[in-house]
Amino acid sequence: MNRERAIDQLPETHAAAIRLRGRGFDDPAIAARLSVPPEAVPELLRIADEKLAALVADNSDAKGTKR
Amino acid sequence: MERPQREPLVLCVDDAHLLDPASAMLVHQVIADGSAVGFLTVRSGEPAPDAVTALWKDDGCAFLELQPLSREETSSLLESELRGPLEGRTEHALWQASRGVPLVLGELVLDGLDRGVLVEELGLWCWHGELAIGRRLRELVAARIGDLDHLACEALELVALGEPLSSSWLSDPETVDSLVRRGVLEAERNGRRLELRFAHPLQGEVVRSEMPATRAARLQRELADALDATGARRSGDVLRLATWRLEGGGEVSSELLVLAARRAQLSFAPELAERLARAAVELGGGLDASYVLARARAGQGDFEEAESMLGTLEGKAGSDAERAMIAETRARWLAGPLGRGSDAATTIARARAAVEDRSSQAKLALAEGWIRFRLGGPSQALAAVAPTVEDAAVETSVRTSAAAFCVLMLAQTGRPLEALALANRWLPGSDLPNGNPSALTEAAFARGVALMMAGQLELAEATAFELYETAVESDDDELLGRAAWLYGVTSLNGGRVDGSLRLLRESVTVLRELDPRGMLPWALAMVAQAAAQAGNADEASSAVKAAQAVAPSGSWIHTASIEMGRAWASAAEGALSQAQRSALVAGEICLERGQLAAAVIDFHDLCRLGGSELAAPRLAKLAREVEGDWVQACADHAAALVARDAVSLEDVARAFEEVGTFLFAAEALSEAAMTFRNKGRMSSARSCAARAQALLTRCAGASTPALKGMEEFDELTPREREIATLAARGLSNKAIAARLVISVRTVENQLQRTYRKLGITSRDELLTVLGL
Repeated sequence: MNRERAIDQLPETHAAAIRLRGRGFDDPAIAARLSVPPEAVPELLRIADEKLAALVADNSDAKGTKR
Repeated sequence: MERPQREPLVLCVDDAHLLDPASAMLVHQVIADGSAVGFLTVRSGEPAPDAVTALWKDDGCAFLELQPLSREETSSLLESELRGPLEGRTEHALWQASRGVPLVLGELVLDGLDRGVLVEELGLWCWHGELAIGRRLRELVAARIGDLDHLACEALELVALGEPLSSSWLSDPETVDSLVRRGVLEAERNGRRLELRFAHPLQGEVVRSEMPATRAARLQRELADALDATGARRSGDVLRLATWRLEGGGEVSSELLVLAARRAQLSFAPELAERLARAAVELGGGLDASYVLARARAGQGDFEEAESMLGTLEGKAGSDAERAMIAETRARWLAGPLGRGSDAATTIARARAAVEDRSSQAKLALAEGWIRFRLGGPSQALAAVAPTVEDAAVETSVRTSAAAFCVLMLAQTGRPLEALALANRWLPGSDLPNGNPSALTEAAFARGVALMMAGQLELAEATAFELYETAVESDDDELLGRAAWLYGVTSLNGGRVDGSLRLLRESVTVLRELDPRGMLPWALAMVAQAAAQAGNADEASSAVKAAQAVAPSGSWIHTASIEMGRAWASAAEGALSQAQRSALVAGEICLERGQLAAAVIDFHDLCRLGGSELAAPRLAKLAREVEGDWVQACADHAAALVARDAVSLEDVARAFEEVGTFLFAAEALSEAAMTFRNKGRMSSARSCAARAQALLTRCAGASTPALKGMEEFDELTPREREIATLAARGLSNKAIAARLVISVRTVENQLQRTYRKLGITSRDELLTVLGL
């Protein structure tokens, strides 16, 4: 699965966090945009990266062929 | 407190925001000085003691803000907890209602199971009826909203009844700001309006349920009056205004109610459409209102009553357009779900004799096309409709619908490339006249079938997937049954047997509730095929019986597909001679009726079931008449089996693999392996068997007769496959040994064993043989 499609499949906040980081926003700015405490951003990004890596590596079929 | 030496103490505190200051200080101290590892939960938005917040603000503890699950994660969780897959629309409805919040999801599921509305059918979990929330969840959601003053209550009630609601309609901006800050409401700009809706859909549900009916009616009347005052200019306003008038009272015209009923129908809300239409009829709405009411009844599956209502209306039509509208709709129901093709033909003939204008004649010709397809075949259907496509005197929307129909019929007659050319000219994706959702889905469905018949399987599957997702997300049950069928069939062609079976079962579940085109027998016949190819003889046999029970008598289309289902069901039981007889009958019926594409599929299946001698001459002839490389591959397959030509079977496998029909490719390689083995060429046999095995990893669940020979060839063990894969990718024996923490000698021995099993002599051949 390609990276962009995988990001689309992440939970909304995790997807937004990855995209904001990609656009150069720092942690406080990401926190402000996502309405989360600034202290939450490092763990949020860490979990988002792990979920993304799992999705990109995932080649299994759901339903017929893909979701 | 005693604990074993060197084991860390873990301190868990739930709802730490509720700790008193002294306890909070103690917890802080124990964690901050390293005496314990802390694991605390706090509720978002609630104030917590300073000693607790200091843990992550000052002391560097990790802070994890839990987020809702994504749709895919929600789906995985549901499947895991229910120990089985869910029907697409049920999965979507639960995700929409929970928005991925596990607590809410869990309560919804438990409530559904308790009330018996979430049940397992045909191996799929389905929710029956509207998704209503139970008492426990209602209390949880109400607690989350929190205590409200009078102004806040009123604001939430208005939003609950009218969301998305323009913020300008709420009298107290400070109250609205407070509700947005608390996360109960969300505000989003839509053009010049700032629209409010609940942050979570269930909150609106709870507020609505707590409202007395009299208050709800009064507020809806107020909303209707407010909307009337703005002129109701936006496209969604008509339905909202009419619905509020229906519930709250006040002056409303029958024309508005009819318009709103049509919108409700297009929004796949037939119950609401019926209520609006009935109200219009009571106000003297005339033929229009009665017609929409009949459509609304049909939208809920009551085709008998709906057809009878239209029968009554026929004599009241005052124009060609009205005559055509009534006759066309009535004929579709007669020919489709009611299985009365002759009555349908009579209805159309009568209308065509009475109507003069070209557009009305064209609409009737389209209905006639469907009837001719069911009674005769695709060629007769095409002859009836094709002239409409090129008739410049007919309105574009009708010509486009005619084009979509012709695309389907051309694909059926074995001219998929011509079908796709027509589709590219007339059905260019989403850019259709008026963006009518029904027209869009007809076009997508036709294109999907044409792509499948043209052997462009990847594109066909992508089209089918999008159609399926559209149907699930838009609550369009009428489309969902067909879309799940198409997606299931394209998946089966691709060899994904398990996935296909799940989709086809879903198609049956949906079509059992609403089947305006009489597709249920087809869907059941395909379930039989998929179940048989998964090795499930009992399910295949039951599906065939069920298909026979619901198929209209004398319908050639259904007879052919049921016969093919029976062929596969017999094969799953091991009765191959019977299977071949049924497949031959199915193919001959399709051939006789000119449904050449289906005939190719049926005769190729005959070949796959061991009847290559019978299939070969028929497929050779069809290869000269039917467009596309795929049919040639099917003909070559049969010829290679008759000639016992293993090298040709390998070529056929490559051709099948190129178009994405991996199961056919695996079967051809399996047959090649057996043929090589019978000629004593064991290394070639093993090589083909290994390639077949590699392809079968893409065919989850497949267990067909042509694969039975594979049982003789030793599979690689997981360790052998792992080492072989690393070697194929260029790692040296030493590197493999280091990576897997084993000796170089072990790697060498494993590779030698692998070469023997695969019938090769060097690592250079591994890449090809393993299909990497």
